[in-house]
Parts: sequence; structure tokens; C-alpha cells
Amino acid sequence: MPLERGQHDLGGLPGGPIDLEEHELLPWHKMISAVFTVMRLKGELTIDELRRCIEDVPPDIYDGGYYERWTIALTDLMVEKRLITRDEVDSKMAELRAAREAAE
Amino acid sequence: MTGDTHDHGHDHGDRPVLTYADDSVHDRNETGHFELLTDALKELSIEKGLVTATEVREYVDFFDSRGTEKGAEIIAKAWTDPAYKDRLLADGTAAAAELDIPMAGAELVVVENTDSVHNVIVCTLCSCYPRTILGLPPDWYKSKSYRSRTVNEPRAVLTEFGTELPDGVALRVHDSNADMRYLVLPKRPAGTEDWPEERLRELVTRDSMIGVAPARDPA
Repeated sequence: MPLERGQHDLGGLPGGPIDLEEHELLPWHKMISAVFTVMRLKGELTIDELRRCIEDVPPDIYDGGYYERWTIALTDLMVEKRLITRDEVDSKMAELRAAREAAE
Repeated sequence: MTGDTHDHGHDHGDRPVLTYADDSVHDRNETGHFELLTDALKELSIEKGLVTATEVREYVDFFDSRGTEKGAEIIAKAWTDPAYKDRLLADGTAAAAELDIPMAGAELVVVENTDSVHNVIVCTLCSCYPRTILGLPPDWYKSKSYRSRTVNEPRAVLTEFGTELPDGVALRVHDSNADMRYLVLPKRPAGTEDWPEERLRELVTRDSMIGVAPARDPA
């Protein structure tokens, strides 16, 4: 049985026109890149591990944008490697959200 | 975030024609979900001693400041120093290191445009890009349309960038991966024979080093 093409395996598929508009990177785009890069250089995780997790995110996340799938994939990888837990992520997000709302 | 909800109107078993709109994230991120998740990952990583706040800040600054200058430095040196050009084409990683440009674990392969060969770079599987040389990649480089089409209709893709290759010119497409990054050595523009290296750097654009356009015309 032939292998099914992965969602990341785009080479040669038909596609529409390329949107050439340049967009400014948002601060969190650089932040997630920085967090990953530092952990990679310190040997906590590898680029191939992250790549596998990016390829495995749900299709709606995969289609939802580059840094969006990175962020989900990095969460998945850190949980898989037991560097963090899902509960810790949820708690921290709730804490940050509350702090942000209090500041508004 | 789970993948259970799946109501965006198309069937993944029967892939639709890809459009850039598939990559658009602006609606989703209006809630700030991903920004918040990023901050949570950063905070947790610091709390657990995986990274320090200083290390993260240094890399944010790096991504803030790193444009395409290092690439232009490499290319202008190769245009003016034949021995360096030979070393660059033989071992890109080592030649970049000569200019104190790290490759951070990946190999650099430099491909030369000539009168008979034009090179263009893509990453069909992800969006691998020589970040230490060119900074973070532009959105179009990461778009599904560029990633899918560049390997089977590269001339049509180049046309969208306003680049028309003459008939006799061979077009080579290089598909990057996590461990190997490509950089195009564009043709040195005519009329720059007397130009010093520093001035030549101004003609070297990001797009010319990806191969979707020639270097800037000095005229």
C-alpha cells in the first residue's frame, strides 16, 4: 500500500498565486523562535524533534499559520519530553491572562 | 487546543487547491491565544531552568537585528575575491565561518547563477532557510503556494516575482531541509566592474539570494 502523503509534504501539489505582501514579524513570533533556539542550543531538544511535532499537529493548526503550528508543536514536544505538563501550561496561561486583564 | 473541531469547510482527504489564504492566521490570533501560549512556554522554561531570561532576550534581539546584511557580505566578497568564491562554492559552511557567520548546526550549500544556469531555493517540507545569514524568512517563502509550486512550475513562480529567464537558461530548484540550507550566489550585475566590495553589498537583495530575482541593477 502506498504511503499516504503527509500534510507537510507539499512539493508538486497544485497551488494558487503566491501572496508577495511583506508582513512585519510580531514580537511573539520572535519570542517563540528565541525560546526554541535557546533550548535547542542547550541540547534540551532537537530541530528534527520539533519538525516531527510540526508535521503531526492537527490539520486546522497546520493550516493556521507558521508560528501558530510552531507554538503548538513546541508545546507538544516539551510535554512529550516531560519538560512541562499540560496542566502547567493551562495554569500559566490562566495566570498570564488574569494578570493582563487586571492591567487593562 | 485540540484537533476535534474540524469545521473549516473542506475535506482533507481531497485536498483543495492551496491558496495563501490557507496560511492566514490573523482571525485566529485575534484572541491572542498563541501569543499567550508563547509567553506561557517562555515563563515555564525559565521557571524550570531550561533557559534564562537573558538568553531568550539575546536571541529576540538577534532576530530583531539580523536582516540580510550577512548574506550581502558573503556575496559581495565572492564577487570580488575569486579565491573566496572558490572556497564558498566548495564548502559554504566553512566560508561563512571565515566571516564569523555561524550556521547553528546546519550545512550551507552555495549555488552559483551564471549565464547558463539559474538557481532558486525552496523548502517543500517545512520552511528551512539560512536564518543566520538572511534573518527570519518572509511570509511568501513559508506559504503553501510557494512550497508546493516551486518544484513543478518554477518558471511560472519566478514570473510572479517579475523574473523572466531567457530560453537557453537552465533552472535548478534546490529543496532545503533541516540539516542543509542553500544560498544563491547571484550574477554580479554588469557595469559594476570597478565597484568596491562595500558598494556591491547594496546590490545584493534577499530575493536575489533566494533566487527569485536577480541582484539589483546599478543603473
